[in-house]
Amino acid sequence: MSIETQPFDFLVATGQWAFAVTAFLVLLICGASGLAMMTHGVTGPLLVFRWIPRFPADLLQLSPRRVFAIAQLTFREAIRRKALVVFGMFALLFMFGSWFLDNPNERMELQVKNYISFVLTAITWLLLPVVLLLSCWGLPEDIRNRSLHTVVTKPARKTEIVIGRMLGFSTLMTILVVVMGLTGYVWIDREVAFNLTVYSETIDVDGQETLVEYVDEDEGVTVRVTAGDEPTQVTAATSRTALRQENPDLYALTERARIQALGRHLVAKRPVLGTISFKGDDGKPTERGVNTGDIWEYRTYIAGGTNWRAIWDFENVRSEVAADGLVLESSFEAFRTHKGDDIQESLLLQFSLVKVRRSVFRDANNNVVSATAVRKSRDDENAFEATVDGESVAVSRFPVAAHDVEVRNNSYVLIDDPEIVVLIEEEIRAPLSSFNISEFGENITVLKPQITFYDQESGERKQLDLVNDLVNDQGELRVEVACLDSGQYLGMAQRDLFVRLPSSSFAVGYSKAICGVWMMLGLIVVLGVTASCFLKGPIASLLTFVMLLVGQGFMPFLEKIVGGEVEGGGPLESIIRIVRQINVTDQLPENTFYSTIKGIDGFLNQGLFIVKNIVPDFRNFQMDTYVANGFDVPWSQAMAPSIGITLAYLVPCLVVAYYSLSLRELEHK
Amino acid sequence: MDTNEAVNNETMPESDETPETAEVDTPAAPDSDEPVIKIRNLSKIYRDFWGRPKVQALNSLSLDVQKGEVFGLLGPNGSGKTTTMKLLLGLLFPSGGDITILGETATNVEKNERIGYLPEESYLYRFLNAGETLDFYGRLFNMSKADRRERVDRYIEMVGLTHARHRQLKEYSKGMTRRIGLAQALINDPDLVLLDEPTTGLDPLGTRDMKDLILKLRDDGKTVVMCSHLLADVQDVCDRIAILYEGELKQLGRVEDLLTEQGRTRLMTSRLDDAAMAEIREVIERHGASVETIDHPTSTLEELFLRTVEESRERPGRRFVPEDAPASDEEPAANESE
Ligand SMILES: Nc1ncnc2c1ncn2[C@@H]1O[C@H](COP(=O)(O)OP(=O)(O)OP(=O)(O)O)[C@@H](O)[C@H]1O
Ligand SMILES: [Mg+2]
Repeated sequence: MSIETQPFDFLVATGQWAFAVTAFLVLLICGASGLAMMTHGVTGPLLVFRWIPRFPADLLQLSPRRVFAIAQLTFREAIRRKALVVFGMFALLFMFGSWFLDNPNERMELQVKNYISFVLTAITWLLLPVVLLLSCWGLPEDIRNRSLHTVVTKPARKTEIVIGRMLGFSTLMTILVVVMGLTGYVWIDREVAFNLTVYSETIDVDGQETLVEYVDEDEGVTVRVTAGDEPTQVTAATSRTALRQENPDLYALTERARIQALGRHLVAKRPVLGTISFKGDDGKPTERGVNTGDIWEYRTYIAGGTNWRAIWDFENVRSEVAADGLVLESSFEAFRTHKGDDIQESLLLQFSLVKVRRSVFRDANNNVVSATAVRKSRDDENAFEATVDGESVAVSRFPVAAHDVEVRNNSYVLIDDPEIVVLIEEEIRAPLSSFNISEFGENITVLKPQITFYDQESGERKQLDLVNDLVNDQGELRVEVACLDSGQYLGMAQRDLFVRLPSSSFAVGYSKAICGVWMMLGLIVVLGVTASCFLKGPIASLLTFVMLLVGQGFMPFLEKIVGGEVEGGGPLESIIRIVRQINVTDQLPENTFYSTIKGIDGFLNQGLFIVKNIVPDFRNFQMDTYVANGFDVPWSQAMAPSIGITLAYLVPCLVVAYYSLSLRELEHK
Repeated sequence: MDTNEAVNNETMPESDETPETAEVDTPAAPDSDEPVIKIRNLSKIYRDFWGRPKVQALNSLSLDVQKGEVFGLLGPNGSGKTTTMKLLLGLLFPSGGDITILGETATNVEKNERIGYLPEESYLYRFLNAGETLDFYGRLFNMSKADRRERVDRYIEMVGLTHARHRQLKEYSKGMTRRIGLAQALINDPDLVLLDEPTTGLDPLGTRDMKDLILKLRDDGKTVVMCSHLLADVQDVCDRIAILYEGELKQLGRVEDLLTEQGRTRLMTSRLDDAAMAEIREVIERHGASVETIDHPTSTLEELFLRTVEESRERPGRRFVPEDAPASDEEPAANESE
């Protein structure tokens, strides 16, 4: 079991990448041939083809010594251009940052979240302009003051110049990121420690569970210690230092509790997400729960006191991870239909662990048969038959994995072929004891290796082994959630219930997020240096910045437009609709004018499609939300795509940079 | 697609790089008479962003530079000397014509191993100091660390900058920058040195050193192409010169040949008294010649230069065409056929 829902497939990604790069290169060659035809006549394309092998040749003859020489030059240049002033700004920000961020009235989780977000945002947005401007201005400046003339008249290759530049800026950027990242870490740690004035922790003192409650207020320090069943001992001191002097043993105890509390606040939880589905009041599966009015709602609801259930299916629950039990963490949102005195009361909730078996059936020709047509054979208990085209044929059962199944039209079907209904059989059901949830806090449910429960059928208490009895052969475990209070609705989304693996340390999650910032800046360097090979400094900076904006903020919007999901048609059509005040849902009149408009819009849409596919999806680099919310950064969802994107852009950018530098006169105009 | 935009503005260099397999070392072979630089019908038109012609900087220039000679490019400001050099180095792309330099095309990178270039102004990295500068360029030649250390010391010593070795170039005076520029051009011990106005900004001593250096380079069998406005210097060091005017070649030849006027004799002696002078006139008249002037000698290249420029101004369109450079270009055809 790992925290990944869907593993990132590098092979598939590489395939897609190769396809995209090939398409890009073909487009580039076609464009260049067309241009060459215009400038050089019929022999133009020939010229283009003569140029093609030069890039790989140049790359193969790359000399590391020259690359490092240029990288070092770039680095020195940036340093001597006072790029390190950014450190000063960083320091300033942090000196005053705590003034604005410290808010003793805020809950500790929110404060911690603020600190982490602040640090990661500050690092990103301080370094972004520095890195962007440096990498976009380096080469154009070199061309402007013609110092590049003395370099290209030496045996330095164009790829060496480009790679050297990229390397130089990246080195500088790496140093900046590492230093700022470390400073940020220390700062977060200190701020949280400083603001942790109230905590209560259960710690182990000589084998005895001891509750230490600590409050540090203006009036003084109060410590309450409850060891086992003994009565609570209350100690007060004027200050923390006073406590330390007066009662060193107690101080040591509070210190231990404090460190534990710190570890709880600064943590990288590793959630294993399951897939969510619902079961309606009629007992049939459905994709979504009850809607409480807001169609944009992220959560859907199950009704309390009914047969509504929310269902999570977890995969890879193998003995390696579950032998010592599992930890389920949940936080649900309640929607009350009646308000009253009981508003303070918490909601009663029940989990059930279910072992299910998912199967599809195949006939003798290995064709998959939908489970709706399958029944048990009359002759043989373990055999199945189905009616296909009016005839009864023998079929055999095959297991399917949970991630291949989804709910559609009130039945479980294969994702790849929604026509095929999957048979889901419930083999064992173990309802756990109900519990009250707090509405915002997190509920922790510990599943021991042995599950004891009350079996309603037999009316007895039963004990089952978690891994061997409740997890099915494919290593899957189903958790069903019911709300027992009628009149209440409980909101659920995929992330609201997860299996918690032992947490990583905060440092791990934080370093991954810093890594994300680093890779994003690396990509900016690559894009910036490339842009600066064919554009002047300001324009190159603008282009790179626009790429960043589009790739960060406009991506979802672009996806919608390109996917045709936006109402009111393409850009021209929407302008006309606005000018003529035609409602977006109205049909446009059918005439040549409007069909021309639609045609142009279609063309523009193609353009947007290209833009969407050329601009890197910078959203992948945003890992701060994971860390700020106390989660580890998953490899497949965040780390791998980021590494992939940065590497993927390197090769096409080098191609563009090489030909831009080779085909232009390096003369300032 | 933005790349094509950039390509659009420039002429794509048509010339082809010679593949590594093809005769790489032939041009340097001493037995061949192959010129070190061969320029045929070279034209350059500077264009603006939209591709509209702005200036015709060179017009159908043809000339050869032979191995081991010091070649001077002369001409008034804006006549196309720097343009020619940049074309030779592949910094600019020709609008027409062909260049072969050390047997390679101008855009070939490998030829740079054997070339040294001193730009018109020293376009160096101002934030580096002299030692770092030379070390950087040495690394571009893929020299080992030990080799670089030795050369950096030697060339800094040679250009007389040992005292300012650790100061950043932005603090340098014009002449000092020029000196470090020269060291940078020579660091790889090049076979062909292109010097664009090497003596500007140098003090008399530096100028003298520069001239000595050029002569020493020639003695070592190197080829030097230089342009300069200091005609006295050119006259002192150049074997052959070309005079450009508005992008056209107006004079080309050996300095002595160009300066020797076969129909005239000039007499130079130590100071004579009037009686002796009269006697000499008498002797000349006896041989049927007449005395036109007897004067103190002037810098005669200056005369040639001024005359050429004057004539070109009066009678535009006349161009010098060397006998060995046919107007039709069979050379490019041969180049194309590889
Ligand atoms: N980058 C450029 N863009 C446009 N025109 C240029 C450019 N560089 C040079 N020219 C023009 O080309 C012509 C030749 O210039 P070039 O620099 O070759 O002259 P030059 O002989 O070196 O002159 P000088 O003795 O002043 O150095 C001039 O008319 C100049 O204005
Ligand atoms: Mg010049």
